[in-house]
Amino acid sequence: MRNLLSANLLRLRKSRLFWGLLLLLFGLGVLFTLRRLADQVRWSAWGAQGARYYLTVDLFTYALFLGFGMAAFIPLFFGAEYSDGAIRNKLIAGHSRLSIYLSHLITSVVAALCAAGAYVLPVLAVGFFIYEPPALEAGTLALLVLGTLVLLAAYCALYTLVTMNCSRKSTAAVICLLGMLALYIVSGNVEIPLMHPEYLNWVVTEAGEMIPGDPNPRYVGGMERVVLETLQDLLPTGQSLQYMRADVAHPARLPLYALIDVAAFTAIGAALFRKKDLK
Amino acid sequence: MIKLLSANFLRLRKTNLIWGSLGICVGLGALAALGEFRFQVSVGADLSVPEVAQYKALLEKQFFEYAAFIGILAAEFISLFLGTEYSDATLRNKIAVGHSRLSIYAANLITGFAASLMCIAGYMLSCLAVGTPLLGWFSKPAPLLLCAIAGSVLMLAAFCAIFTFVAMNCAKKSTSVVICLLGVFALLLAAVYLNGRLEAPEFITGYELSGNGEIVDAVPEPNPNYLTGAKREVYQFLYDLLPTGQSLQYTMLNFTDPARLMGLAAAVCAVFTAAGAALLRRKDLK
Amino acid sequence: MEYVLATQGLSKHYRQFKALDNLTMHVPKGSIYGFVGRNGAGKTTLIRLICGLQAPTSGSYSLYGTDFTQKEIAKIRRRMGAVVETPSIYLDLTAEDNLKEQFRVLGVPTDDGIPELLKLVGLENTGKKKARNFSLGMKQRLGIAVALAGDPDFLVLDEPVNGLDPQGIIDIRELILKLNRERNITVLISSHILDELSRLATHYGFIDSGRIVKELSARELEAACRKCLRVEVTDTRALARVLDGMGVEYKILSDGQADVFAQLNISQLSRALDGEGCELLSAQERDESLESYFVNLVGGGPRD
Repeated sequence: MRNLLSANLLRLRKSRLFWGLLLLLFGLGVLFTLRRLADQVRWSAWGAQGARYYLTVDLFTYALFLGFGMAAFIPLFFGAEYSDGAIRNKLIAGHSRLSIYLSHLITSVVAALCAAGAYVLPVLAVGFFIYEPPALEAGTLALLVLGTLVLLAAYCALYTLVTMNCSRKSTAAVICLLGMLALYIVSGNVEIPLMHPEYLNWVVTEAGEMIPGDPNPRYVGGMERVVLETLQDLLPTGQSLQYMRADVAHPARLPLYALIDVAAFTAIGAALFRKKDLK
Repeated sequence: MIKLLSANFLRLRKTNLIWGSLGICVGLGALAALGEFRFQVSVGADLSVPEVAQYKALLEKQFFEYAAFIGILAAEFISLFLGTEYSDATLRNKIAVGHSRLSIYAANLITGFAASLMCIAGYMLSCLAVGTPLLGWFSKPAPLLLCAIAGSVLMLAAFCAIFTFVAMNCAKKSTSVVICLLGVFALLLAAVYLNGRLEAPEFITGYELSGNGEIVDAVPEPNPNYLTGAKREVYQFLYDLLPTGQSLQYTMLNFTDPARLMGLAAAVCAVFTAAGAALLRRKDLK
Repeated sequence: MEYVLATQGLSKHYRQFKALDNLTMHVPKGSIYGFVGRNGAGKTTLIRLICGLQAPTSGSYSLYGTDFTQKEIAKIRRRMGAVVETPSIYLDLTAEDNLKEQFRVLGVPTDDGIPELLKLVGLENTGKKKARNFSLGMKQRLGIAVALAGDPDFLVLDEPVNGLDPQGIIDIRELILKLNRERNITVLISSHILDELSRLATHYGFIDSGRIVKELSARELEAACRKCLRVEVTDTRALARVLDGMGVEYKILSDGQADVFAQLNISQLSRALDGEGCELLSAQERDESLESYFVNLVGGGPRD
């Protein structure tokens, strides 16, 4: 396993694709901070109120970009093991399929973390002067950081599942990229009914208290709400949407669910890979 | 050229890819109409009164949805179908028997375009078949609808020209798949961003407390996000130029100058085809 | 002599690397031209150039006397069939569909010729099996069938027996000989399996580092491969004296063995040796093979 990992990491270091991914994420980080800077200049006439952005607005966007980025990277990088027949060499050298699978997964997580770092670097460096410090408690912030990192691992686990079980590189790329899009559409649609507020309006009593007014007929409650919320928290794309808006209802729950994703995808993927007939 | 086309169409018929794509389009067309109907019923719209559906232009709303996703489908289809010429090295068989690279390029472009058109047609027909009984007939003026259809076909040609450019000049199928798909995603995001900036209102109205404690509209102030002058024109031009920008406009039936859109789409198509064919001519094949 | 393919000073450079360096060769009509060279000598590059897949950096070539820059070359190419490196076939189609596809590319009006073509290469029983699931040899044969689809006068085969089993090699050899004899197809065949090539070729071109080192017909090659007599004697010094006296070229291999490069009268040699007090133990006639000719020609220097 350690041999496999060091072989993979060596290949990663030598891969132009990997450096391209880092460069792309770095460029996106620069682009986003510059965009905020331009906004700030435009809104400067409105005073401080118009130009306030919390760091969390842009910090976690990598969870979106890398969802797509890894969907392209993993099939291209590891699909080469099939197309070049390198996977045979590893099997013949006596490595178990499970350790091959896990070494691929870990390598792709490492690649994703590096890429996330490449994005965060300019956001933090330039952003120090642009953004307001996040209006969150340190503990919540730490949970958000942890959550997005585990989310990256969940994406990697999903794409590794596809790539390791699809012997054609281009087909794996199509499945990962379009599958990702399809999951986004699902999560986007799950989110819509959840967005409706419970009450149409709030009434101020004479005592100055706010009490709920008319109930909203489109509000989804009860069991249905629980199911939809769980689905939204469980799907990596649902998590991405939440982090992207920096609007996370259960910051402690998401990393846990992402971890469940990693475990489930990996168990399924490794089991399928064990039974696969290789050429 | 005709020989190449007939060979391409034979292969098209034999590939599952086209039938799968067509199936998806037919399914989406029916689903779109059905989904709209169910949504209208759930919000209590009485669709048995023809005027309700007519007023809301429900059929056109779903009918033109294809413009939003056909780019993605074409990206996937063209990069896979044409990428096979490289991965299976069959491009050699065509060149070695004396077909010019230009005619191979043109035949491949036409094949991808025809296949995508077929997918659009599948979507339209199934949307009409399911949608007309449920949502009623079109209510917007026929010239507008015809413009949108013609324009979206040209937009599709522009998409196909871009993807053919990539697939014919990239010797690795999986790389062209990724470039085409990520490219179309990126172009979609760009179009959404441009649209957001262009749609920003000119003035923002805040609220303020009046003398007697009531909340009233404040005097509208100019919106810093509103684009003016040359900058607005550049944004508008880009929005009209990008096939993804056009796809948003046709999907929402929200366009002012269809002739300009069609002209730009034709220009995109011509530029990419000329550049792609020129590159292929010089390319060292294996 | 009429040449199907003639190249003049053909060069192809990839950045600094000279894959072909001023190469001049001639493939006579009706021949089976064996194109011999080590891996990386430039065989496949030449084939890519003449198939129009790449343009030469300098120099020129002509097919049936038509220069490659002329417009008519496209029509001439229609008379060519080629298998370059790996067979060019659609892996997702069956053997039959692959041929149908190529018939369309060529503009052949009917598909009637397909069963015969499949039979010719021994793939008539593959049915609905996709080419992806073919063995290497079957793919190779389907590639040849695709190359034959246009009824070519000139067939270019790049390492056609690579990866085939012994029976497959024999089949391909028989097929090439049949096509050459019955249909008078000129064949350019590149290979580094020299023994196999020597059973087919009527002409040879030896390529090394992108240049033709030697071009000759099979007959000339035979003449050039020196006949030699290996003799075993009790005293090679006596043998040397005798052979010097006869004015014959020879090479002493050991105390008792020597190679003599001449047609000798064995009785005369035996009598002369007797006079020197040396016995002739045995004499064997040997051919210098294509292999040793090749090694002599290009040397045993560093590969690639």
